[in-house]
Amino acid sequence: MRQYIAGVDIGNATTETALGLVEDGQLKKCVSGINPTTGIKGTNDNIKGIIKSLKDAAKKMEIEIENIDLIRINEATPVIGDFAMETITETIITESTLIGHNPDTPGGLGLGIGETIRIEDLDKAEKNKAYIVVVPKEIDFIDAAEMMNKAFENDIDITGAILKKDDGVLVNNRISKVIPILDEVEAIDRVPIGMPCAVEVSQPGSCIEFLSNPYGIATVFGLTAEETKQIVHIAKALIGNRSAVVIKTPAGEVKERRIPAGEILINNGKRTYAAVVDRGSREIMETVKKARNIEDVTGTKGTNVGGMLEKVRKEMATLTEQDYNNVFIKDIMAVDTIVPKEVRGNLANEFAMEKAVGIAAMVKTEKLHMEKLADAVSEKLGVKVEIGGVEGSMAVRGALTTPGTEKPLLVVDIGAGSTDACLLDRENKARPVHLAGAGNMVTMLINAELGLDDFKLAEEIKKYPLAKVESLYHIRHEDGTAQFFEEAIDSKMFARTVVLKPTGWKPVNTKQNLEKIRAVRREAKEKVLITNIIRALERVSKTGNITEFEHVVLVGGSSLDFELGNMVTDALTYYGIISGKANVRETEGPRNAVATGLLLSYLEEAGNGN
Amino acid sequence: MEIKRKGDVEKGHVEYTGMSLRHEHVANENLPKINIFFTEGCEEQAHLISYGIEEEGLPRCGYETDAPFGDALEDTVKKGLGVAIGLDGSKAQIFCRQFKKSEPFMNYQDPSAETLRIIGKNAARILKHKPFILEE
Repeated sequence: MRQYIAGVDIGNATTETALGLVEDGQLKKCVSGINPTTGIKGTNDNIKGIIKSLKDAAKKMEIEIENIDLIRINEATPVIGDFAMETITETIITESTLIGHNPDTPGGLGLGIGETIRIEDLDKAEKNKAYIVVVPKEIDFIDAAEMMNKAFENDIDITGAILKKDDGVLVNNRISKVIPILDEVEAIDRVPIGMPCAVEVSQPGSCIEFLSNPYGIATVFGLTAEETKQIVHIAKALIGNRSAVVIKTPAGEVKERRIPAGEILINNGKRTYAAVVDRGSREIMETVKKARNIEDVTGTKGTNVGGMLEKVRKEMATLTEQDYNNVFIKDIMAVDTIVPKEVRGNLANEFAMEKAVGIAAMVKTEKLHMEKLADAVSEKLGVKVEIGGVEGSMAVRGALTTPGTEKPLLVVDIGAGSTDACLLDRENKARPVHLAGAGNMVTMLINAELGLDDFKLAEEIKKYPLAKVESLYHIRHEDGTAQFFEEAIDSKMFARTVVLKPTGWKPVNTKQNLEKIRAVRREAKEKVLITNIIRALERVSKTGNITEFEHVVLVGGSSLDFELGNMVTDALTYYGIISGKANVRETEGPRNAVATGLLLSYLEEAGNGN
Repeated sequence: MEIKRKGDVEKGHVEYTGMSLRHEHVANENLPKINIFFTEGCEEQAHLISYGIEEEGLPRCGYETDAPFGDALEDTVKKGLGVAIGLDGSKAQIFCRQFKKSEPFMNYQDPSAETLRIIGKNAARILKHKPFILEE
């Protein structure tokens, strides 16, 4: 008997088909089809994508869809994940106190200490005092230089200058004394006048030394030990700058405030554990471990984390048409991070690196409405459609077609919102686990840590390698190799770090260099993805000792990530575990595992395992 | 900025009308510079371009000429830093040896005073290997 059987896997991103020709219970030929998933997984909007994916495969098999005898679709795991970032520290400046400013081209050199004075008031300046001149936008650099030169002639001691416009070098070149000049200060109007002030500019290629050192600031302003404690956060914010200004105001105060970020309450059915978010991720994850079989998680109302957990719950309730009260959060993942946040009360858009916790949550409910979808597909195509099996188990069956694998095998599918893993033991028993934290959380960390404020760009940084455009005709890849081109590179890319997307390069408009961007990207993947793979192993392990496993295989579109496979191999080799990307049916790479599993399980069920 | 006018030595230029700037006194005359070639009447605009170059910390020199774009292109090919600017009443163009083409690397039509400063900065940024300032 000759039959065409199709396994169709409806994923969040793609709908994949494995179409097999079965003759007398034997699989004679198998082809694949793929199409982006249309609509939200589990809804009738998926039909369009399913048909296109089937058409793709049918074309390769040289048949029409109508010739297919049976379509088996996956029983999708009703899992949804979301994430939020909770900043737990904040640097606040009451009254103006610092300009942790790093303009491209400050002027002059050295450290200048004096009292702030408007340039227009220089004629009223006293001879026995040192001054820092404040130059507003309205005063041209030539006039500013003339006024300062005149003051020098009158023995007025100007020790530094703060400019609104990008004129630092121009002024420096026109005055008769070398003083430190800081320019591009946006909020020049907010610079307090008549206050003690210090300006420091260092040599190109080096960093300021005095104002990034708490004791340096204490020396400049003659601070007491108690006052020095207060300015530690200023010094911290200025580390690595080539230039900076610190102004001491009588009531001025800088402090690092810890924001009450609320609590996460984890219930395991027996008792409720509380984790205080602002104590960082370690405490949260230890609490998650303690609770083990989580029944539900809630957060303090009115906080980011509380809002995020409720949002995930609501989304899932809408998607599955279930009562909101019957939707439960089954896992959370917390990651410590440091994000650049604008300093409150800043003068030149200064940023301070603040501590934050990224939190991802995963919700699991009753089944998605796959039966409804199966009926709709059947009606549309006139072909029998059935629910083939649980996603995780099917993925393992498909992954086992990878050469070099054997049972027990753990398959990991890293999605956008959750990490799904399934262990198939020697007795063919499948143990699926679903964990919070996946691709989107990595993107969130990249976005936050680099201060991009552009989720799409962060997503691209996550997915593709980087390069630096070193000339109009060549780039240097992140591994150090150079590549030359015959045509000139777009000037928008010149001297920038670019993301090498297959469809075209994209410049990363940040002052951070390639090495830093790469480090953030890899660290985010390690913090979320590698940690989750190890968590998955711990969850499915009977003994809690993950070295009992031998094979971990990555499947799904996310494992096409250019570096993740190697990172996982690298991390798990330490535990003696063989790991890497799947190569389903020796041809498909990490794709098509679930679809192939659906097809193979049909043969197994029919007692004709091939 | 040092400016040499038509009819002086080396292209006939003589007159030095540079402002008496501290850094220009110490500058080596033979130091390679970013040269700005401009037509008669465009000296003000040339100065604005030179301020952009100066802010980026590079040496520059102005030449009054009848063929600013041809001279700028020629200048990039034969000597110096390989970056030159041509300017007339309606446009400004940056030429660059690295571009390896007989055409301007960047072209600005009717540049405003602010844009002229940016042109100078961008010319310098080719040599400093810094990203360009792109106008919206």
